[in-house]
Amino acid sequence: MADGTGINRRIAVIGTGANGSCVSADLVNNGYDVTMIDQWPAHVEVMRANGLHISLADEELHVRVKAFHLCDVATFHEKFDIVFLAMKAYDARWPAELMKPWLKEDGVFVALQNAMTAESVAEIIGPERTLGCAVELSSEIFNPGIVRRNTSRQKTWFGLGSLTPATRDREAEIQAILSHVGRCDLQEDVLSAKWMKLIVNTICLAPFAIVGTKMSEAPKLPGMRELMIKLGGEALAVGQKLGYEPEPVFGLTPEEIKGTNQLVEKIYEKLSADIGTRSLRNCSLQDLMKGRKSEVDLINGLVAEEGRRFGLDTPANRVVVELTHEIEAGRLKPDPANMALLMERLAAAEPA
Amino acid sequence: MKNKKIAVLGTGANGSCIAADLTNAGLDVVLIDQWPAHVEALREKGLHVTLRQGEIHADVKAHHLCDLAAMNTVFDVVFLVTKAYDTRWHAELIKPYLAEDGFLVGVQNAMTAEIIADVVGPERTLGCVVELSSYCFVPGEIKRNTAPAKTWFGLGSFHPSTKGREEEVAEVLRNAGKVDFVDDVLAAKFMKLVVNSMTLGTMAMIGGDLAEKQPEGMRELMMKLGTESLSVSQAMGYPVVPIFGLSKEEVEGSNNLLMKLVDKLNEDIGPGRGANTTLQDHMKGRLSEVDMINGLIVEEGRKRGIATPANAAMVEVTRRIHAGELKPDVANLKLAIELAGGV
Repeated sequence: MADGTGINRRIAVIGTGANGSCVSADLVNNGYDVTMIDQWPAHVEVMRANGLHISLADEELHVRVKAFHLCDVATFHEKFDIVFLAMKAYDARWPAELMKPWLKEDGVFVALQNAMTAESVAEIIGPERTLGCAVELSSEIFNPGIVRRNTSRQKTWFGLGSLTPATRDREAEIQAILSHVGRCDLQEDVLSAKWMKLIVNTICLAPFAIVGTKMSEAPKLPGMRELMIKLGGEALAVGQKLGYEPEPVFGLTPEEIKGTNQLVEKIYEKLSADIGTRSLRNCSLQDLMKGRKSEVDLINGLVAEEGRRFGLDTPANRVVVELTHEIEAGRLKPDPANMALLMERLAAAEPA
Repeated sequence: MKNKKIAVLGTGANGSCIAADLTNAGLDVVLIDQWPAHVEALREKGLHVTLRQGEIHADVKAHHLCDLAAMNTVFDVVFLVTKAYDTRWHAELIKPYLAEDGFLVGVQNAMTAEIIADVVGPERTLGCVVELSSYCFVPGEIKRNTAPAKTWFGLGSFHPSTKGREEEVAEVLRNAGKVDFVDDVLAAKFMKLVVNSMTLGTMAMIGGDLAEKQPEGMRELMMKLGTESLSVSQAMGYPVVPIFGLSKEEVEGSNNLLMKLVDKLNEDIGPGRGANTTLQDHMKGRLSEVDMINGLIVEEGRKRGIATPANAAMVEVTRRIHAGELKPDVANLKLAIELAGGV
């Protein structure tokens, strides 16, 4: 059974939006037994009727999948060996509670999410059945059953690791499974790795969504690069207070990140090179376009909140949260013109 | 009350009955449910409830669970009307959309009030015992057995922070049935669980109806179940309290409290009800609540050294039905009695 590849494991992916679909498709195509569970009924219906379609830059995938609605979970009979959670960061606790009765006693639950959800998932599932994971994979979904994957398999990256020594011996198998989707590194300190990813997210999710442009275009707006550096600098400072060490992520080597005084820029540049110019809309902009809540409270909002706890002011992150909320409330639309507003608010928020 | 934002989370049979009444009372209420076909039907045709006394139609606002993240709202009162085993994840799901001073009230079987309090905080929930029988097999269409006049909610605070605020929920719920305030709502919920331990799994395993003449041995099995459950309840420190709108005198004066409760329940639901909630689960191939009813009695009994062979038998027979090893059939009664070590 346990031959190291995980090929005989019963796998569930809960949350099969853009990223969850990319992961599922690659696992199915590599012979894994994957049960997809999603909250968007139309998406499930299309996948059942037509299969799942993924467009990559150089490849079109069409996969027959097993797709289920949330309400179908109560009809399941068999538990899962491995559950991957691939929802928005604010959808972490409830899917963990939903799937908890369906995870085997010796199963493993891995949240493939932004933000610091690993600990809240571990609180529910138990740290002895949880692994943390930082993810770099950009994709989009607007039509049910049809996903556009921006990050190639070669550039997709997972930073996987344990929250307790008890799960160290579980890492290799999950690594083997995720290696079919992208590069998977084992992280010595996965929470630090996730914070490193969060730093990057503070820079390039909400701010780019506010100005409503492509990832490759946003940094060209006057003032954006300065804002990005401030956002990342604040997030890095707060992370240090929280005890998170600079951890090599995205396949950078420890040498590449040690001793650099431009850590934030370095990892951002690696990320934008990996995503390339293919990304049209990052996940936050997709949320705002769909009228859905974004992850801003758990990314920039978390930096502001934790900063407050340590007496560190984080004006750039505060302003980004504020403007995102105004868009979510329908008082503002994503627009390049918001750059001026961002700069104006930031000037007012910063101590003179 | 007109300005309160209300949600019914979980609009299967009972949730739909409540939601229809609240909607038709002119309240600002949305329905949120995990069954996509039901939500689609509600959107297209509205909600249709058939009672013995007539028909109710309600033009409802129905939403999928995935719509919550796009609703941009917070609710003042949310009624959680899912199966008991769906409590914790639904409470986590709705938590970000519950007003700071709002209430999430589980209108459910089993001991879910404390689970809800654990998730949203004891200051944002009340306990509720419900007596309402209904069923749903066709999306958008509900059969309600218990008439609004017989529908009963026992509502109560179980934390100092909510004492005196019960009316905020009662004024809403009163549109769907009679609301009594109960002093010890957790005891009342356990009393209902005792009744459920007697009637749900038993009727479901034989595919039967409580209103019909019962096969030989059934009443005895029910008594054995109820007696075990009541001992466990007393060992847990729950006093015997009146439920279903019975008076204290009626409960105390009874020399067979358990069957009195079952008979009262039976009388309120009326004849021709069809499948009970557990039998509906069996028919749909869905998990039943038995682990949180009979299973809870077994578990709590074990901790306290109280033997509960009849409840353990109900858990086992129900498990076999769910696993497809048995079909609901009157022959299961004999098996249950055997597993229970006789009645």
